[in-house]
Amino acid sequence: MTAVGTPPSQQARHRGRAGTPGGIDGLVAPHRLRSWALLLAIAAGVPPVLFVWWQNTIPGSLDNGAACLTAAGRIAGLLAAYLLLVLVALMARVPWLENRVGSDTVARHHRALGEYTVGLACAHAVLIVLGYAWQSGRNPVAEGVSVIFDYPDVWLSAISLGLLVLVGVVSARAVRRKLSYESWYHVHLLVYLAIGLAFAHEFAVGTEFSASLRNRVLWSAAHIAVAAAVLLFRVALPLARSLRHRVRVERVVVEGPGVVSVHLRGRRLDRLGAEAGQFLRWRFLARGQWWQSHPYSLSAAPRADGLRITVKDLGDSSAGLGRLRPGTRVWFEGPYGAFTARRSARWGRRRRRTLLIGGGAGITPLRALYETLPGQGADVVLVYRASQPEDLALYGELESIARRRGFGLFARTGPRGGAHDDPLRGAELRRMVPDLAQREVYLCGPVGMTESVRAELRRSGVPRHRIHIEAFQF
Amino acid sequence: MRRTTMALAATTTGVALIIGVKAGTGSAIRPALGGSAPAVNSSTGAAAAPPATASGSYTGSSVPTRYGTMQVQAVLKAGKLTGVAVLQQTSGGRSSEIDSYALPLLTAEALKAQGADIDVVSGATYTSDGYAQSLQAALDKAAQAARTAPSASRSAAPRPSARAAAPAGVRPSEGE
Repeated sequence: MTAVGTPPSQQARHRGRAGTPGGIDGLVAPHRLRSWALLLAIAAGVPPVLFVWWQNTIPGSLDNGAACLTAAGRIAGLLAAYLLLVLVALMARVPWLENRVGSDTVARHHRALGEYTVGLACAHAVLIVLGYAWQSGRNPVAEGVSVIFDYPDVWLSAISLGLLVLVGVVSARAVRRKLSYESWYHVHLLVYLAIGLAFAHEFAVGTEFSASLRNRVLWSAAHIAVAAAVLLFRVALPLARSLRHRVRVERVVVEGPGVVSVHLRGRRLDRLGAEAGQFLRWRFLARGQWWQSHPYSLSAAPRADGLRITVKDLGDSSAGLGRLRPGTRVWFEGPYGAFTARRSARWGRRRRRTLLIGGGAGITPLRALYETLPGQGADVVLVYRASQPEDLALYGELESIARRRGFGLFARTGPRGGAHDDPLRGAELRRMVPDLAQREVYLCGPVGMTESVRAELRRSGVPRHRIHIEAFQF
Repeated sequence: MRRTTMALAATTTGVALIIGVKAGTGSAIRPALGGSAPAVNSSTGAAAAPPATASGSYTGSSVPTRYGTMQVQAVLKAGKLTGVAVLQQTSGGRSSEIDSYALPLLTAEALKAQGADIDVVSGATYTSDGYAQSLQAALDKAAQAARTAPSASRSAAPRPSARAAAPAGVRPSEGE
């Protein structure tokens, strides 16, 4: 709990100005509106899916428990198939989703919906088998075996269900923590296979489709549209950009224990429209690296001829970045992310003061924002949290920006504590930044840290819509 | 995880509700002919029971359903329906399994009702409809034959006697 090298002159600049809650202030921030709009759009697909079932079910056929169970299984299956498409579409790196709704928001929706979808897919299988078993009077296990092996293409969908459950398991928090980013990512790619495998049985035994050409056409079209989006935004666009901008490693600088900065050069990088606070997915074409790509935030304001990322040794590959040779070709996807100055932009209103809180490697996007956010003096305050003083990477740069612009800068180190001694507990935050309840807060760090700080901020009176979080967990 | 559980619970409620509403839109027991087969009855206006003179096997019309064609053959002895042979049945998806339990029930119903005035077997709506329509057509044919040649005994060995003897013996499933 020591303030590392924070000049007192910079600490004493926050006069807690009384906030002037204007009319527009009560409105929801635009990115939140977009987030809701996105959820609404997803929900809008549910009624048509239910209608398909409704239309293909004969009134009067649902007169016994077995039929009802089977019907529930069908609905669960249709919904799961629809949501699988939605899940893939969410991760298709559609620019609007990535940059306006925000990659982290989309990833959160994807995660929550993913769990739900795996649950639905399991329910589909269980309900159908139970329903059939009840109807035919056989035991469910025997019925399950016969459903898998005797019906066309159902064995494929059984494999598909297994893959979905596998993906669900590796994404469960407890398991995810023990896995490297690469393993998790590559297992996740199996979802594409799972959707392909499940598709066959939907047409072969799903009467909603086998009996209606129109439904088959619409369903196929939806799959084709999502596949096209994936190919366009995940493959074609990144490939074209990588070829056009010719990014190469310029040099690698060690910033501290386990932390390196990679300076990158390229042509006309201003055309990318990258903003401070955004990240790109990088693929270094070097031995042992080319097959994996990683999201790293820009750690300095993007320039037309150069970008910089700063990486802490988190996953399997980051350690290798220190050995990158100058001249290494780099392919990339992006820029992505809505963790930018635009988050706090308001209609026709003076920009709010800003508080940046970074933990560990979470400092990187904040470092770029710190450099580029408009304002002077106490308009921008940065609180930097690390466990050891020597882990405060980039601190020298932050100090020089603070000196140049008069921005506030605090460093807090030491172990995580409880409600009374945590370096970032509410009372401590309020002491450093008395007017924090009136500020836009940008928070970036490991999940545990962002969660606890968010709670402290809320308790300190910061409205939810003014807390912008970029948590790295993958 | 907790939210997912809640969402799944809410979904269960929603699905139960929509199934309940759907189940409420149709009566539980519905006659298989249920007015959906105007072509069958209009041809002769036949009564449910064939004339007492009718004997032999009478092939019903092939009735196209969403899951393939249904066609049955009625076996009569002195105007009494003694058996129903299935010549064509639905196919695709779960059809073979559905038919394997529905067809014996339908035949039993038909023999009991001595006609095509039977109820839909739940879960086998298309099969039931097709079965009843085809059977009605067969009985119509029997009635017409009996009327045109009242004395002609058509008891000459019902053709697919093996099938007729065991009406429940459906074609083996085609590996579906």
